[in-house]
Amino acid sequence: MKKQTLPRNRTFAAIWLVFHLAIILPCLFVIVKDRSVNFDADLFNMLPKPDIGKAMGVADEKLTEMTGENVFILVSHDDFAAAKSTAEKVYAQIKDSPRFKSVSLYSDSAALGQVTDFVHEYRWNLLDDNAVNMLSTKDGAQTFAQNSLAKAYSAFTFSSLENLEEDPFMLGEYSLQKYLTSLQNSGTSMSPKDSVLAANYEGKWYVMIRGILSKEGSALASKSNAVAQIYEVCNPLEKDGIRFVYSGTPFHSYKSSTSASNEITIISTVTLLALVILLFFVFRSALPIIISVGSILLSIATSFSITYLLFGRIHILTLVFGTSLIGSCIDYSIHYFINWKANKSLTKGAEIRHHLMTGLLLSLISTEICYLILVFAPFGLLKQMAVFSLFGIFSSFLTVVSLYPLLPLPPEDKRSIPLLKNFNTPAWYNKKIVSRVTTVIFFAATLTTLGIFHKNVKIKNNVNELYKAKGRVLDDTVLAYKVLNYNPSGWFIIAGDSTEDVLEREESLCERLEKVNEGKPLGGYIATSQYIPSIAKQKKSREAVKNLMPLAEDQLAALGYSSSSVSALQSAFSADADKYITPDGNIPDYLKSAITSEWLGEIDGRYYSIVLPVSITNETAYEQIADQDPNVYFEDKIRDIGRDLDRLTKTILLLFAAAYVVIVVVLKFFYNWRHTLKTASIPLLIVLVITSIFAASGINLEFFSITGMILVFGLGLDYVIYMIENEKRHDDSQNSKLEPFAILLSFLTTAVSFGALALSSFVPVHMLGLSIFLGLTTAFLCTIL
Amino acid sequence: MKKRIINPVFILFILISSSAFAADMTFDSVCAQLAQHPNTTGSFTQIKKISAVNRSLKSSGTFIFSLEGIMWKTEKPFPSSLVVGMTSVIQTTPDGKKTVIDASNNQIFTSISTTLSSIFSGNTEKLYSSFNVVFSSDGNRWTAVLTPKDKTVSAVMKTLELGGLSTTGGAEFDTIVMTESSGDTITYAFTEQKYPKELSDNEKANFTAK
Repeated sequence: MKKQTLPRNRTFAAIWLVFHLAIILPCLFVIVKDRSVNFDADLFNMLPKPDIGKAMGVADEKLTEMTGENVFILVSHDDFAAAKSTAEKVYAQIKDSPRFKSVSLYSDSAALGQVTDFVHEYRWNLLDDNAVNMLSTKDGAQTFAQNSLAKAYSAFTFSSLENLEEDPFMLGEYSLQKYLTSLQNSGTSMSPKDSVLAANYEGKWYVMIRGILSKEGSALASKSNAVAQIYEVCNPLEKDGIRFVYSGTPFHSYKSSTSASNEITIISTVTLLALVILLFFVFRSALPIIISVGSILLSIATSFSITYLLFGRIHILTLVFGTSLIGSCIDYSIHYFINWKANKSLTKGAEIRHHLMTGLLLSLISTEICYLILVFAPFGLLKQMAVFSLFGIFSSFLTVVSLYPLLPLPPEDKRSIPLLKNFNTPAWYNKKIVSRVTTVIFFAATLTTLGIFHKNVKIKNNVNELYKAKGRVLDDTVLAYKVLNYNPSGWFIIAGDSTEDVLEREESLCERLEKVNEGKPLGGYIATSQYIPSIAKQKKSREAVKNLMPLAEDQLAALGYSSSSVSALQSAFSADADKYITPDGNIPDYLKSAITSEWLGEIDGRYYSIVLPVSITNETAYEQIADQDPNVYFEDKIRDIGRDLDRLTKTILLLFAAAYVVIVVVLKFFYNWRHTLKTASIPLLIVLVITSIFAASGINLEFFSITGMILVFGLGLDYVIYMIENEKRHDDSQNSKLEPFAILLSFLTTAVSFGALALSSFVPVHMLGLSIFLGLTTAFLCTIL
Repeated sequence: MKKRIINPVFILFILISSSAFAADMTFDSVCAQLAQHPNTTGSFTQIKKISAVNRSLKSSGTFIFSLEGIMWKTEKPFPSSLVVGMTSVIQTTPDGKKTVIDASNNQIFTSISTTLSSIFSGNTEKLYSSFNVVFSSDGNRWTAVLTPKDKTVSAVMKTLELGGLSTTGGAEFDTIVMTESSGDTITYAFTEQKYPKELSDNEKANFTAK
């Protein structure tokens, strides 16, 4: 026996070693090489990506990433000079920081001059449809010319009149006015004041600093985070009436990641502490506790490593969820150590392993099937969580079956659990009857509840309810919205085979968008084609200008120029015949920055751009606009994520059903029909209990609670599997009490860890924890009673 | 570009200033006189001098300054009008088409309304916070040269020079010379100023963006 055991132990130990080294060492190598750990706490990343095809998805991701890097710091004070001076201090401290790609405070007046020069240079090409239509008739051309003269002699023009000889019809002035109106309608309420961008709201001045985070600065849960630097710089300056208003996704991400880190620390510490106390109370020895905690830490390290290696980064929510591993992993340890400590019929570690192997293996398989199925969910975060748990639990299993048997057993006289003496079932207790009654009560109660509250049974995801800003972050978000008057929450993505194709589609879209938003406040938008028309449109503009040329002599004369200027004008017009503007051409920096988020350029061989409405004034109309062209997609981030989560929830339910069938089939290989049906009834009850309690509480079944439901499948089945294994042994000795006791301990430990998740302030984690806690309790009660 | 929108404000400033007069003339005393006349109407002649090409464009018309805003109605050689209200700028072309620029969220226009209220309330403190003022007088003639402190404004307009004559009944305002940063100048000469206590309904209608 000894000869057989030793090589088997060695084999297990070798598998354990290879498994863990193969995962942990490469991860350590990557981290040491990069000298940083890539955490992800982007709120949008924890939600599914819209189902809009690969290339569109890439465009969407690029845009989300860009907007997710923008921060606005508004420095407010009653006195503009004080606000500006403080803004300058902040700017000086962060402008050269590597945590920012760019920081801007000053509004460059010269930049506007570049735009004036630009519209003059391309004056023939920039007329809009109104002007083109007007110039299509002789009378219209005459009116246009008259209007230009009136403008030249009026009290006010946007541009200098020094180019009148080259532009007697003031085409540049016409386009400039259109550009400025577009810029004003599509941007924030901020406007230039004393070289900075400022706004006055309810008697207070707000000076704006805009920053774009660098990769280093975007790293959350990291000391080099740009938001942390902003707070470090700004907080000491927030005195004497100065108030900072922070706006942008990074502030929310920073806050959530900080909260998440704190929650992880608190939940992990409290859970571990509770487990340590519980285990010490049971075992009265430090060894099982130290070994169990070591096993958990190793599981977490393994899970972290494999997730990091496979995904290149780890979402902070995966770590929050990962704390639940503590509860799952410790189950194996508990079952082992209960037998190690009190099952005197087993005299060697290998015998304990053999004794437990079927139960542990079935438990592992059922749990792993559930996690494995989640790996196929079309949602990155869920994949991360599934991989994290899949490997964590396997690591724990491997540690228990490989290393634990190497531990020497306690001396014979110490192989007892004092607490177990009090763990007696009352004489009247008839397990068979109680079990059946309990099951019937559960079914009856849940079905009755569902009958009463069936209208509340809904699969509905509302993203707005998943994350709720609180305190200062919320106050700042609201105030920033009021001050900036800017809240784009949806956009059109336009695809095309060429730059020209995209611009033409954009123009057609913008035309329809303008009709929808005519006269509406916040009906503006930003689009590349507002500033850089398609070549087709530029050609139309040139054609229209031709109709003005016969009027050039009179026009120039009215402005005081001789007829010799006419030929120069016509020569200039002809010379520019093939001169067109393109998004990749030589356009002024000021305009480039205005469309920087809108022109996505080439991605995977196609071209993309964004049309960003200032607000969604009419969602249905926007959708209809997009529906008219298969190359246009309208995305309302909040609505789309909700819809995608609904779809994903339903997919998960299908996976859930598949998992159920697979597990039942697997169990049938090991058990007879009675045991199989008994086991199979547990998941059904779990679903009924969770659904009925949620329905009675008026809570929608949403993505995260359904995910919790599928996870509790694996965990909840463990109890009944261990119990059936125990029953199959037909052992009437004291040892028969060990398994129910181990199940009780397992339940308590797992319930503590998932119960802790239910206390999380993150709605997703809370729903997940609550769902699992309810399911586990159901599974436990149905098993133990 | 946008910065040019401020010009009429200063013009208004000047026109309002035309009523200012005191024996010991100071800028403060001129401003104090402004608050006495909520409305000023009259005729103007405008000469735009384009230095780069050494040319001038001359036009004339009528104007209104009031608490509602400023109206600049060019009559010759080509008719047009420009109204700078508290929340919008309205341009009307010879064919009667109106272009309305929303100014409610525009800082420059907000500063215009602030300047207006400062003038009408005689709040020179606020004006001094926006401009460096050099005031001088020579006999009956007075001149105030205003240099904007705001760099955004000064990037377009270098100085604004106001001039007028002093009389025993008050001050007669007659010129404005605005020098742009490009070196171009716009000179206004004002005549036939009147100070009605209230504007007529037709005059008021000019300030409504419809």
